[in-house]
Amino acid sequence: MSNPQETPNASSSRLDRGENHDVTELHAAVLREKPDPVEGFEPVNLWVVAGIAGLLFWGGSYLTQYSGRFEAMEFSEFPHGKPVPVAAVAADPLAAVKREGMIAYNTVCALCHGEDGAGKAGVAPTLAGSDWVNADGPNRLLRIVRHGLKGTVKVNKDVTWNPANDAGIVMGSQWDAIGGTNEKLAAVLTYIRSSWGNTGAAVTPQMVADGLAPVKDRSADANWTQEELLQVPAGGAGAPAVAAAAATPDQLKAQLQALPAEQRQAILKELSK
Amino acid sequence: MSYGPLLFLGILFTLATSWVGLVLLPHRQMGALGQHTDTNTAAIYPADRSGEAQQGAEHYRSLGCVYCHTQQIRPEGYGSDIERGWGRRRTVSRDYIHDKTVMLGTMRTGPDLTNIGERQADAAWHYRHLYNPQITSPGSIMPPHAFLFDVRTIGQAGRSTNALVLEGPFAPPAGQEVIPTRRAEQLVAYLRSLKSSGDLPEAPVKKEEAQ
Amino acid sequence: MINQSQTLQNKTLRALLPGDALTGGGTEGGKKAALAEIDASCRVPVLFFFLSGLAWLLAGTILALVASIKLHTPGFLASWEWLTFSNVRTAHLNTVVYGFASQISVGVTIWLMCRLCRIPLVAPGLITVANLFYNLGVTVGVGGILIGDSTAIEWLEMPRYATPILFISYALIAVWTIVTFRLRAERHLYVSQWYLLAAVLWFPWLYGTAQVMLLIEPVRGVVQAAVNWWFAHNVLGLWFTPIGLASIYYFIPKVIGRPIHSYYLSVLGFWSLALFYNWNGMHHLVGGPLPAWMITVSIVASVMMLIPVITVAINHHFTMVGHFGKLKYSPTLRFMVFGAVSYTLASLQGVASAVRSISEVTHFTHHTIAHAHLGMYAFFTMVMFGAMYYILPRITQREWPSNGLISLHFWGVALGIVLYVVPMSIMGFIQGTMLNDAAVRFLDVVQFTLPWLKLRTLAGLLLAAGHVAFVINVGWLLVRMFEPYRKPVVSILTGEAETVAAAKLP
Repeated sequence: MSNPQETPNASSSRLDRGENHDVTELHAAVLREKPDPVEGFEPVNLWVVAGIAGLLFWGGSYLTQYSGRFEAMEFSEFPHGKPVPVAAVAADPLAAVKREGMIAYNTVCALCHGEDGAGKAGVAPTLAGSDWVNADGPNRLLRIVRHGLKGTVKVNKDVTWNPANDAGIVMGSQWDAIGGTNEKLAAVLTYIRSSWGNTGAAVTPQMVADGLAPVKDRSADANWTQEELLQVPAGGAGAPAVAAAAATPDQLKAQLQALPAEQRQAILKELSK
Repeated sequence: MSYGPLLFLGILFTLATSWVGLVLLPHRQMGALGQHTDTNTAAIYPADRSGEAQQGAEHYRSLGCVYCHTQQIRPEGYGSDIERGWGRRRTVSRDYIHDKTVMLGTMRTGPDLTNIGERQADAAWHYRHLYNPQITSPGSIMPPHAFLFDVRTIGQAGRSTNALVLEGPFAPPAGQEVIPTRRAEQLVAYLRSLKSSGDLPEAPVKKEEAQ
Repeated sequence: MINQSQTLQNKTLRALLPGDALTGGGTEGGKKAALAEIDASCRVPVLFFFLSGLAWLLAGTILALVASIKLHTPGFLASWEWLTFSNVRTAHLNTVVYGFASQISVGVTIWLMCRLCRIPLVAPGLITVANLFYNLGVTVGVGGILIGDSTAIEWLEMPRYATPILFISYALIAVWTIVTFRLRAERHLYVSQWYLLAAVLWFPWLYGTAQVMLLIEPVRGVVQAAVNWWFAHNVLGLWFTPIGLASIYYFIPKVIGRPIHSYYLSVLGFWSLALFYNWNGMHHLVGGPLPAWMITVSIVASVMMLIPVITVAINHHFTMVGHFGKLKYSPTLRFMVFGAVSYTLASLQGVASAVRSISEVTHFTHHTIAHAHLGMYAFFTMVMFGAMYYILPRITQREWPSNGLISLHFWGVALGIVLYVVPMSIMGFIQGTMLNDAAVRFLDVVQFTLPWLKLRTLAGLLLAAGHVAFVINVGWLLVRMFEPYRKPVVSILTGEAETVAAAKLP
């Protein structure tokens, strides 16, 4: 194909290859280009002006209300308290507590005990229908969560679990993980004791405080064993301590010490009569 | 608007307003915050970080943990940070005065870590989680950080005390053990130091029944 | 390369033509000659920036795909420490933002400033040095990130030893722009020039402040977060947005041959953007550990952004109205209009996300990531593609070799970005709602996001295909540059076409 534009002798004028001396033979792109843009002068629509005014008004009012008085240490945009909507009366007065317990359980316990409380083979025992969970009172459960558990455990009298599972992982203290307060522990146990067919009564923060009072100096690393736990009465609303049959003097002593102070005093007073 | 100098001045002035308002002013207001001493317990908050934990903070930065994990708790009732147990109160400026690089984070591909030192104090859990997150959190999309560990043959003296306890598909080949490197130890020290529940006048912790 | 004698020769030739060849009067041929001379003077500097930018685009695309896969398949390439998700994601961001987007920005800025000031490129040496420093800085910076020296400060992750190199480059560009501005032959300032001048002055200020207060002499505590997000947001709002808007303001009326709808709206749009945009930064920290006033101020400024956004949208729309048919023929117009519409959508999404009640849901979720890509890609990158489709034929004096590759590019990236942004925005919103319900286990939320993340990888493949098509076309165009110029035969079917079918070339 013949090329209508031969490249001229480029050396003398040092033109780029392909450019042409003839300045009117411009490349097609520039030729078909339209002129550079200019601005039109349409007036600004009044709706735009109205919109801007509205936005400025909103902005000023929002800035006044939510700036926390421009103070460096005021982090809440509601320095006088956030307007709290009137809470609906819950059909179940314990609903809020159970929900709190469910959230903590799902975050911390469910990984091993399952979201359905069924436990996992070789990992963690079942909580659904467990006699430990459904005992009259929560004192043993409090200790398990507070300080952890080690050694074999018999659940429902026939199934043996070894918390030191195949990987040697023990259930450590879960106190910090669930939130480290009596309220949180009460909520978690209330949730466990009322879920998956369990029939245990609710646990209050006061019960937690009383139940843990005798062992408040125990280190969080001192995991409980089944034997130690069985010395501790499960407790329960108004239920006095129940001594295990054929207990040794040391075990009796431990049981006495596990009782709330008032009850202990009463028993000792009786005995010394 | 073809007058160059006017344009130039306008351009400089507009950016200057936020340069003063959002950069210089806050620096003046908050650039020199100090620790707070509790009048009752004489506890100082935020507590100084140990050297190991400070090194760990550097590893946290260089490993880029901030791209999936946040370190800020939003106020109660705003989002579910406190309800999920990620913290007992919202975080405020004083919580970060010890951070050489403040890593608030902007994505929660993984959970918030502001108080992970309170929620999960077990070092062994952290080592297992870092080695392979599937061990502690099945279904997690956090990548395994096996490069933070050495796999060694078990020596004459038996298993090392700091060897990871692993089982099943995660266990190393027979006769081998997984040992955390210095980097892993420092990183875990940092994670265990992350506690932001100190009581502050500008952000009081809701009072619970004393334990 | 234009040298002294060439410039002199062209000046002489132009002087021989009647009338002022630059503005008003003068022959058409004279005016076109001036334009061609400007284009020729820009050739090497602009090509340097465009080509290095495109190389970084390819690198950034690969990194993006790897990062996307890692998020739903965490075992992917997991044994290499330098390839952790954090490293790859960070390298991706810095490669596409500083390696690709900023370099194309500079190339477009150079060409637009020369064209609008109506003078051939001055001081090409300065530009060349700036470009060398630039690529050196990005290379050192991204390399530093991959070996573990990332600063973990978003948008400023390049290590301390790399950022000053980039700062020098930006400073040189700013100097060049001011010099060009002073030497301009056209006294009237078109709206694009306001935006370009502003962007080029604002960015070194932002970058310098951020480097000093975050890297060199780090400030204490949350003030770091304030400076970080003042900087990072303003990179988007005061560097990329003005350059994108300058391009739309130039190319849309240029291609369709109509004036911009309203000068007054242009002025209003520019100054309201300049005033409000730079205060937005703290909306990245809603609910965070900053005093309430800082967050509130940024939320107000974010909502005020409706003023420039709607103003500009009206201006662009009413300029285009009645001419949408031209989209068929002009790839430049297609990309520009796509970008302009995306700018409005991205801004509206941004305004919504800034409000506290919506931020409560979308903060910390993939919704934010989708929004970032709506702005940086669907708006900015598409506009830059459009600009390149216009500029490259003019500076190389060759036509695009393949219409097919142009279509593949456009449809690949258009479909890809829509498939990315829309599902991820929806998913992010649902993710946020689930996260705000404490009863939903965290790991369940993670499981929910997985299928959507896989969809994103698919969208990424479409984007990658588009990029490859474009780079091949550009490479082919460059090869053509070394061949003798051949006047193309304009097909009668494509009358007003921007491109010419390759097959029609003699």
